[in-house]
Amino acid sequence: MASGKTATQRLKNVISKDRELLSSGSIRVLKKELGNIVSKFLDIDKRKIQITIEEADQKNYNLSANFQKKSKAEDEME
Amino acid sequence: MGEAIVITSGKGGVGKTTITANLGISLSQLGFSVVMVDADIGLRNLDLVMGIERKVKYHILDVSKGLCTLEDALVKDTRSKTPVCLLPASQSHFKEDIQKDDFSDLIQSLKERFQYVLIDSPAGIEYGFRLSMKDANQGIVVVNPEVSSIRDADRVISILEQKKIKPIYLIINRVNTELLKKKEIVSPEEIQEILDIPLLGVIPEDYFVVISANQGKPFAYQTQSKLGELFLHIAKQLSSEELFMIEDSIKAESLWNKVKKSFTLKK
Ligand SMILES: Nc1ncnc2c1ncn2[C@@H]1O[C@H](COP(=O)(O)OP(=O)(O)OP(=O)(O)O)[C@@H](O)[C@H]1O
Ligand SMILES: [Mg+2]
Repeated sequence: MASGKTATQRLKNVISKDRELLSSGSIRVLKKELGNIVSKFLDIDKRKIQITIEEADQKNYNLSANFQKKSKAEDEME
Repeated sequence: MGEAIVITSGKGGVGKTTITANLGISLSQLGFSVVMVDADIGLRNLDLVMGIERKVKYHILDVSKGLCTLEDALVKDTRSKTPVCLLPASQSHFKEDIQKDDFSDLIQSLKERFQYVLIDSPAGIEYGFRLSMKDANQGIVVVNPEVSSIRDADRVISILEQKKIKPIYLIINRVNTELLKKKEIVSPEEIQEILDIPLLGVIPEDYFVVISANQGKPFAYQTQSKLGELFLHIAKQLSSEELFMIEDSIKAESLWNKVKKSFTLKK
């Protein structure tokens, strides 16, 4: 493959990451902290949290989080 | 009220100064009154590329400190039909030596006197860059077909967008046609697709650019030459875009199609 194509692919990947509001590292921290708080109130699986953050407009962010209930099997394990 | 346009890139050495000088001249060949501001304080070059370094008496900091008037500091290049002016940077100061408000005041008074104020930004995204874009209404982002330049351009575009600078145009500089044929560089079409802003021009890698800088004779003065013609075309696109932006946006569509066709671009 000519290197121009490789460069284009790599750029598309890296730039879409660059444009994300938070780094993958800080997303991980956010998930962990959210999980810690929410698990005090709801019976959730802390490893299965999905979050998306969007800039709604100039002044607002939209943060949505999806939590899964803890499965029975895991309850027994703990 | 004139248009203030910042010419910027993030990455250094991609051709900002070359493009500012020659675009300024081409705009003036079209009859517009043009002033260029060398905002690369401490690393003054625009005067040299223009070939008017010997005419420089004062610089931007002399004006902001009240040591001379703005009029005194403007260097006039009379080789063009309509004279082009340059407000030189200081070579012995640092970017931070000029206050934001003083810089804004200068750009404001230049906008009152000239139709185009072209601001040659320093590389980077620090104080000097922020100063250069602060009072711009439009932006031109210069990019080379090379991965780090393209990534940096994307970053700069997002900063300009945050500051509501619009439109932001793309100029792709130093396209090596041999490498393009062999597909060993990112093509202009792909660069535009990645960065997703309107394309103003594609400039080939050409040793004549270096020769004209060596001689202090900007190629835009040779309107018959390949590069001179190209820059005249770019200047026309830039200035007509402005006209119809005021009128309506339907024409915008067709004009951009024309620009793209002229570079045989798809998107
Ligand atoms: N299309 C081109 N073909 C060949 N050489 C070019 C071309 N464009 C620019 N150059 C050369 O590249 C060098 C850097 O150009 P220039 O000084 O305009 O870049 P710059 O972006 O202003 O740099 P800086 O970030 O240092 O201000 C110069 O030697 C110039 O002559
Ligand atoms: Mg420069």
